[in-house]
Amino acid sequence: MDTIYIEREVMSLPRTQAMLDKYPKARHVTVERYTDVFNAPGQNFRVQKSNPALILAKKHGNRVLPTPPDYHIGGQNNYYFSHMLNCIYDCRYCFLQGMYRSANYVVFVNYEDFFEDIQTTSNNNTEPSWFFSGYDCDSLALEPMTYFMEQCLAAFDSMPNAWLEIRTKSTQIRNLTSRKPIDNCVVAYSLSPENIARTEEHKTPSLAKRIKALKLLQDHGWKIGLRFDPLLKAENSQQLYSTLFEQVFAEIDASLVHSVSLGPFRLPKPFFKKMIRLYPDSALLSASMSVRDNMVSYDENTEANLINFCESQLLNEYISSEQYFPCVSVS
Amino acid sequence: MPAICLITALPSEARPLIKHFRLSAVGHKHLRLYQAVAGPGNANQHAITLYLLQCGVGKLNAAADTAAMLQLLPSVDAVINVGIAGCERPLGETIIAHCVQDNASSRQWYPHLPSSKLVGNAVSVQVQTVDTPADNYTHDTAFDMEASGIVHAASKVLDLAFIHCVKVVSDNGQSSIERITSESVAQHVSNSIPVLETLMAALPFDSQPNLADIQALSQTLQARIHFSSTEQHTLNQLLQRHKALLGQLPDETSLLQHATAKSLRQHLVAELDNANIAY
Repeated sequence: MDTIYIEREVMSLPRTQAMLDKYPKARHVTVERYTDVFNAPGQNFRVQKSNPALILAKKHGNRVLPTPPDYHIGGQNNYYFSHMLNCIYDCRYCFLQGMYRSANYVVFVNYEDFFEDIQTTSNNNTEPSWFFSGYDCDSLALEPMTYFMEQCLAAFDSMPNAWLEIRTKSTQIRNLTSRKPIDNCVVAYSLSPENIARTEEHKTPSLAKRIKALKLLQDHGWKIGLRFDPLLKAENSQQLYSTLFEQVFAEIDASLVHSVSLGPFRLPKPFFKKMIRLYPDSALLSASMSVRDNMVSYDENTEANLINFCESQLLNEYISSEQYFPCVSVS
Repeated sequence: MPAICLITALPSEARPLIKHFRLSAVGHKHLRLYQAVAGPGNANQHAITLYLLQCGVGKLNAAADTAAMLQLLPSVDAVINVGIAGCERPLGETIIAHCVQDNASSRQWYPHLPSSKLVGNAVSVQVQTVDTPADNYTHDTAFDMEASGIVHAASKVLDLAFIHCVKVVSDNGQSSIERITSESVAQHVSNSIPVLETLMAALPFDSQPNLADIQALSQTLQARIHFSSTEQHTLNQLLQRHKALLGQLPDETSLLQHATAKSLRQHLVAELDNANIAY
């Protein structure tokens, strides 16, 4: 990290200082509000991605938000929260590229405010509430710097009516394997066929490493989730996804998997247009697409064929219908 | 070949750069503009086209001339303001702006600096553009009179990763603004050239998509076949998709056999509809 922007309000916090200590050679730039840098016009996401800066800030309000309607794994009350904006990985299909002007990483250091809001939201519901982490970032990728999840787990340990999903592609699981698992948490890995991961999911751990991390977590007693999301079309899609399922379930005990979901490739049209401008050289984004309800996706037949194939493979070969949740969609 | 325009206010700031980079006057009616092709090269040793604009003192001159230059030279990919500034740091120290603030309006810009591995140990500070000389020096703010005008105008056209300010300390608490001479300015700017060259070499031109061949083919087709504005846009998109999906541009000769834009578009769409990615 070469440049760190720090909101004046959080500059003197011990947590901020601890993060700054991790990067002793970085330039420090004091700012009033993180949005002055993060939302400024005239930024180039693609250029910044090659050398992103870190922004340390305080999140004021809107810390816990309802998920989109089809984003759930069986719960009635579903929310998401993001202690971080942007991701250290560079997946070509990721909607963050179309949503944000900046590729810089924002870390909100007022963790306790997040936990308080989660507690309050959970207390407002009699049924269990689900809280999804990893919507605007990868939940674990920067854990060695932030220690957010370590503290988040401690908070959820005392909230039995609140369930946490940690969505990740990261193998930074030391803070999980070094502690006792908690019952109300699912560690969910986004998985793609090996060749797709290598081509489209830049800077991510390989499929083999993710499977190894999943197995380790399962062996330690953590509930694990599998997110085959987004499903990408290819000449050899069926072979790719069959092989993926074989590789995953050769290592993982399918009967102990908490939940499995599939996610189609879908992006809001304005995001897609911006992504094409940023990456005109991307084959994935140059494929034939259709627009339905202002969302860009594969044509209906292609999408349905892909989902049906994966669904039947999973349900016929590996998992029960109780473990399966069709479309948890966020590309 | 990327193009960079250095922008200075004073002739004494421009002179050492003109000499070092072997620039020659373009001979424009209104702009003091100089040009060279060659030289420093960027991080991957590509040649660059280098310009220098001497805009005169003050942010209005700076903004007006920067805008006019970018209108005249749309191929310019990056601008770097080079000049003197007041700061409570050693005289002659070269600094890079991590923030440019217009003192009058408080408006701020944050240039996206290249990796510190690439720009060495150059110190970065806030550059505050004032309308009249200021002497309330601090170590983390440098006063100048042009940067905000240049950044304001350039940011209408360029990304903030390609707009930078390199300043050299000309006055501080121990050496007042009155002691500045044209010779000292020239000397200071001359001393800043190594940092300037490092910054120029670190500009991230390579992280931008290269669309030159697509644009060239598009121009060739438009010279032979009539395209409306919308059709031109569609043509460029289809050529981009073709290259991304099939790994190469379509054959020019076969495209030129089409008599109309519509027929050419239908041909490309059909080809792309059948294209599949294999992982």
